[in-house]
Amino acid sequence: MFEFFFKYPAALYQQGTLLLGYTWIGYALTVAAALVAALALAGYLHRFASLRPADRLLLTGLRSAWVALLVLALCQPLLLVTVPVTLRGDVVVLLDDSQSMRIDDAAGDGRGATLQRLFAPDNGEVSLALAERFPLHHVAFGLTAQPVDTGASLEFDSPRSDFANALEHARTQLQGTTPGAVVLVSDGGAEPGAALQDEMLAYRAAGIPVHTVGIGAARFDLDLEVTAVSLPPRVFPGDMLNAEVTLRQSGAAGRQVILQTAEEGILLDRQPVVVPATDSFTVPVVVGPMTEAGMRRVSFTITSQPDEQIIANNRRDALVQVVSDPVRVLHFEGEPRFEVKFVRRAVSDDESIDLISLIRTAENKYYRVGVANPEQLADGFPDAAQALFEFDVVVLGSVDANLLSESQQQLLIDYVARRGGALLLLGARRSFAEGGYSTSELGALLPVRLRDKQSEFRQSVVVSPTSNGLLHPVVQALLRVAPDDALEQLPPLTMVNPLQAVKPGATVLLQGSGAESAPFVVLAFQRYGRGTVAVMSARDTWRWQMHSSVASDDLTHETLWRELLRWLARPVPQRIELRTEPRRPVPGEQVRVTVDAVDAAFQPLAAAELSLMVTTPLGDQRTYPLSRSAGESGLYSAEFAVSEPGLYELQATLAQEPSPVVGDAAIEVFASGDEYRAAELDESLLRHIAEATGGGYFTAADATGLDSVIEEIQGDASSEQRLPLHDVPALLLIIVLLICGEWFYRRRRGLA
Amino acid sequence: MWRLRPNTVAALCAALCALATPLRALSNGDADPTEHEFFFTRGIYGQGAEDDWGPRWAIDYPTADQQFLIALRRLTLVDAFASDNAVPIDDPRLRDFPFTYILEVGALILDDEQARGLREYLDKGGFLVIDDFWGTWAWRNLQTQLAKVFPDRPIVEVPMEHPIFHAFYDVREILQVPNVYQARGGPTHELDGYNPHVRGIFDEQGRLMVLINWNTDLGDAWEWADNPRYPLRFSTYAYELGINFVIYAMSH
Repeated sequence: MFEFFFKYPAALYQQGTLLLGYTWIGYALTVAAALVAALALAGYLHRFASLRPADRLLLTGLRSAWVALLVLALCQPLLLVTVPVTLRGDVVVLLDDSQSMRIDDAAGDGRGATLQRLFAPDNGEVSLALAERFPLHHVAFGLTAQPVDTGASLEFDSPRSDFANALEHARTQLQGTTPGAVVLVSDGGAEPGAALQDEMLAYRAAGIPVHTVGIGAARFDLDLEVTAVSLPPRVFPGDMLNAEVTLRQSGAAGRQVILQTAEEGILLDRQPVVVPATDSFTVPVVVGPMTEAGMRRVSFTITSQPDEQIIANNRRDALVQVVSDPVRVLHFEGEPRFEVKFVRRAVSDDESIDLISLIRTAENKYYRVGVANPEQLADGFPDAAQALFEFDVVVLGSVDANLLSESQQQLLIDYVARRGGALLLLGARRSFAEGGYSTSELGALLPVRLRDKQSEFRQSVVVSPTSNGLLHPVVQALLRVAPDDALEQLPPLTMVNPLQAVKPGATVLLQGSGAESAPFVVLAFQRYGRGTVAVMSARDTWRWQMHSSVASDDLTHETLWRELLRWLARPVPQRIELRTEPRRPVPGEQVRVTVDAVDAAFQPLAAAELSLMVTTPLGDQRTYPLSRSAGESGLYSAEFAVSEPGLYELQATLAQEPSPVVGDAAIEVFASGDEYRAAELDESLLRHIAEATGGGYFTAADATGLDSVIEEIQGDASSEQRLPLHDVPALLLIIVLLICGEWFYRRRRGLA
Repeated sequence: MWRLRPNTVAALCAALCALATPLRALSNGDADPTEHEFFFTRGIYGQGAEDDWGPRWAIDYPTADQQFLIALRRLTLVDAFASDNAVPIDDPRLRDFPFTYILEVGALILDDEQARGLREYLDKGGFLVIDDFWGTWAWRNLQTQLAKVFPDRPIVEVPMEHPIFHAFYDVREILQVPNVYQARGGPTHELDGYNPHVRGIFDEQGRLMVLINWNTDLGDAWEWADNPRYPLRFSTYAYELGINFVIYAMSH
């Protein structure tokens, strides 16, 4: 009855708020109506001045009432309410069928068993309760997603949990089903990538809440895990391999464990590690030297502990490319210096360093050592990108900035910033401020601050590592061969460029102590654009080789130059660079290979013929064409499916004369993917999904109340609405009654 | 065919003007090794053994050294110490100077310690130029002494295509540079040293570490470059070869 007269249920009026929805037109109409009403009332009173005061009061009241109500109706009264949107769709339960659900950490019950107990399609407690109130569908998901009808269909053997694919499947692939809510049951072991973000937005837009149920322990009682391994992108034959191994511990603080490093199954190193109290910590590992060129698999394994939760995450493998192509180095000196000879000596038996020395011996005369042919660098320092950019490292010695033309200086800047090359400046009488670099464009590249004026300066300094240097592979290599493991035992070196300050972002590795109180910068570097700029400010490192105090078999000088040049060259990009997705593919997945290809001047190759050869773990070779990417010039891509676990070697080839250019990479396909990595229950991801879609997060313990919450949350999943009240029947009825009352009373009083 | 080069001639003229005043030993090995890139270091050996010409190591010293440095500084960009720098070959300070010149090695006698020190100097990267010794007897003595330094490394002829002949000047033939007396006419050789040779000892990497100028006297050509009677062709050749030695020694 109430709803008949008032259009809406009484509950809405109780929770809602009344407001007026008129616009400026409404304002104008209201004012006009009020004026009309006032005039009418005044005339009314004037016309019936002969009536008794009680009659006049009654008639005035009646007319004022219905006029007021009419004006109210014109003001568009609204009822602001939160109107429940009834989700009339089905409920889809997504069941994680991946390998991590086999972990036995769910309060004495396995994750899989817990999932079966609660959500098995045929007899799960929560599933049965949900089925009573909603049309229910179950979908098992891992790498793929498919509907299941019984708990027996769940095998928990998928190598990956793909939330995005599962949610998309629930939203779009269930024929004839419009999901009103989705329940995602998992341990949260999935990657929160862009696809998942997109899917969550789609759910929010569709108003479909995703309720998540987390299964498993948020923290293991005892577990050790190798979570990450950081390796240089490439190394050269003979390089020591400097790795940073990140470990995570739970309940193992204070224990001593062994970190083993092996290459292709051959043990390289056993390092005792005392586990700190922090959850995550990093252990530096230096092994090698790496000898054989090619893609090498290095494994890092932490010894398992009795009662450890998961053993499978104690090992992590990493691939490192031992490149056979040598580092190409151009050493340019503006005057003859013994440093040239001794740098050449230091790296002479290193087949991984191809050093060309260009020495200006007279005003317009250059002496070249190590050139590939008589024409190479015949005119001095390169003035074309193609000639300069072929080098991985450029070393400038006693080269006055004015010796380089403006275009050559700009070329050097491009070499570092765009090509990604490494530039090393040496201390000399024509270098740094003393070489005019403080007023040159090149000064901006340097990691050190230069004085404005050139100075007559010469000081001998004892070199020592800085705290940052102690962690750096070049300095670590030096300390391994230095007398008594200390650089301070070596003879002092000469500084002729007073460098004492570095720019923000620069790192000082070696410093020199002399007569002045503040130390000098000896070896420092900074990133600049895509490349690296380093300074070695000592003028005569050759004294570490020649000095009478240096033993005949001392290798400090050789090590300095080999390690420094190799380190500078390691990150230098090559003409063909490969990237792969996903990061850790599993059998059955498609792998996308993206190739960046540039020409000899390192400009993107817009239209090149590139092919990709894939060598499978079984030794089969397949060739795929690389097609141009539409978006960006110089990008090419191809896709192929991986079918078995193991190492897939990739080689992209650019066909060109006189010889093709190749780029190498590799991916390892893991049977178990990342299922046992960070395998503790990831509540944060599940909560995020729930919150982002309007759903709720539940633990296994409180999942039994899910059915009622879905209903409740469905109610909560409502929208704010403005309900019009101007056409409420009761309002019309009251106005009519008031008009009729006035008419009736007037008739009774004999009025017209 | 050997040719005079204009800038070489100009440098020699400048050198001759500069040599108007008598030269004397200025350094005596106490130069600050950090002051310059290059020091023309003369190796002192056999101290106490003298003949009518004085100590054998000091033949042509210091004039030859200083005059060579004038040309080196004038013709190249080498930051060279302007004066002589004589250092005993068994002095640890020799390690501060990676270029050493010795001559008259017919009188060179190395004891075991000196031989060991010289080997270490050369193995570490030092470069030794031997000059001004003539005939079979002096050669055999040098062979004997160098065998103490490098028992396992042969002395071989340095081929004309070797970079040391082309590092700064293109030297295309080996001349016999006579001493100041024989340069005035007649035969240019001394004793039975009829044919000049440039020989050397190479290290495992094929780098020349000892350069031997046998049956020739570059030092006299440097020393007497200001003497109008000394033939310019010999002086020019000696300077060209000497400069090549320095550029090679600083870059190989």
